[in-house]
Amino acid sequence: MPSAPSTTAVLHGVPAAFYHEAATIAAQVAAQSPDAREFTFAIDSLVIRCRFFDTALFEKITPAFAHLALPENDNAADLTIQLWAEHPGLPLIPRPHPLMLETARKHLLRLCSDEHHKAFDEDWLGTRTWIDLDAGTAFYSVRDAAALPYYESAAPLRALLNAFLNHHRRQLVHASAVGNENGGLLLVGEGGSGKSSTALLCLDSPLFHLADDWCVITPGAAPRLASIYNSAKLRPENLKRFPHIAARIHNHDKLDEEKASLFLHQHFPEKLLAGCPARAVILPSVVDANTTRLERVAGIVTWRAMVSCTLAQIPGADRESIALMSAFAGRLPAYRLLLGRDLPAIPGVLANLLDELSD
Amino acid sequence: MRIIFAFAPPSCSLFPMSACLQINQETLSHELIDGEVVIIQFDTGNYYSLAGTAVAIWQRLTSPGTIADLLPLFTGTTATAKTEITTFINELTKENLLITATSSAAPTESATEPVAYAKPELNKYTDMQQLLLADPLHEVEEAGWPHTKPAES
Repeated sequence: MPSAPSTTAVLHGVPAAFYHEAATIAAQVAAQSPDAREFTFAIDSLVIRCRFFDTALFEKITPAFAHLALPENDNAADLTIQLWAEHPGLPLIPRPHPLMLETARKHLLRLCSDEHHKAFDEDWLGTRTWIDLDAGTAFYSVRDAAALPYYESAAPLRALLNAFLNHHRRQLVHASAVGNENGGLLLVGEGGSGKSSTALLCLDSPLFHLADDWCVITPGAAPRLASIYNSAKLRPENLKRFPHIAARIHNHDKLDEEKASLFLHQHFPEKLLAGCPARAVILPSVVDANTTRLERVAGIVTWRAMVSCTLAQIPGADRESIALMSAFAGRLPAYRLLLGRDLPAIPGVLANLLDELSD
Repeated sequence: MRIIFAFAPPSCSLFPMSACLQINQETLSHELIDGEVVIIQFDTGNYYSLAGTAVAIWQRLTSPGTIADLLPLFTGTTATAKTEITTFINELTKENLLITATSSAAPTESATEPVAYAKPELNKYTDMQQLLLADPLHEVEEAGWPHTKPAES
């Protein structure tokens, strides 16, 4: 008696088929939604064109990328994303077979993904994402655009963009970054380690801001940092230490359940930097001292912080992501930033390090 | 958690000097970071670091080689040093970081002068197992869905 085929064999061919099924639905949505709005932006020279079929979704997604916006034109894009929200009258994406909902690596649909196609189901957000890496096309559907939480507006499309960036030898990492046109510093570490606070302090200094929570790294002989989102978030209890930020946050009425949030592009556009060469990886930690100082540490210390924080939060990050982060860290010196109480002095410590490393 | 291997006593079974070894590229990723080699073993989720002498040994084994090939990397390799290197290789093999080479050792020109020998150490870390464990995507080919492969007879 022949043995039953394995699950993998039964579901053979699913990733391409699931993507094409989504593409069919997306074409029907486009045909029924004549008022598409386009938004084009670039991350580290990669051009991404979003075509929205929902105004509320446009307003939720685009502010985070506003600092990277490109003029509308018909130039070729490296990635074209079609985005829509479910509405009565629009065709619905069929619910996948239960076997196909098995996830790996945080919400990556294991049986619907391979090296050419990836699909994500972030059920708590009500979003589904498909990407064809070879074609450079993707779809993003959301159950209810108005219900997308503030942290998704602050850093939208992470799973989809990381899959795309990996395909182009780049990686989205959980980190802050500051610098100038000569070089930048990647600040890694757990939440509460001081990386966001350090990056925000630099807004009031000669240094520029690349990233608050998420940064794009490009490994290679000349590793690079690139900005992706211009959002910034702070714990409400920290607002009193950042009066220049406190006056500009947009969710004063929700601080009992949300972090204080703002889009820096709306308030500090001249302080944002789209990209620069990477000079070092920094692990901040708050210490009981007045002055801030740097100490050299082994590269594995910052590597571990970068890899663990990123893998824990990026859907679909896998061996390729780890290899990219390792290759990036392998080219750069590592430091621990011991953050003292004299906050205004902190940017100067980083600026001095950048001067030394950029010589 | 960090584990520094306490090597087995010389009486234990050691790898033969002539056995040809290579890095197990299939299941791991490795990178030279700030003078240390960081190795991630995706089958177990463990990761490792090597420094000093151990880095030189690892870099030599990026192409197939024997334990005898490692000795010219160092000065002052006494009988004790040979045993320590062999024991170190055994530990790398036990952790599935090295495997028996599929091709014979290729003669290599040493790019650097021999360096002073020090006992090689393997540092093992287990604190990121859940994050690092391999979670491979299944293999598919260009075909429609659902598409059932014929059952193997």
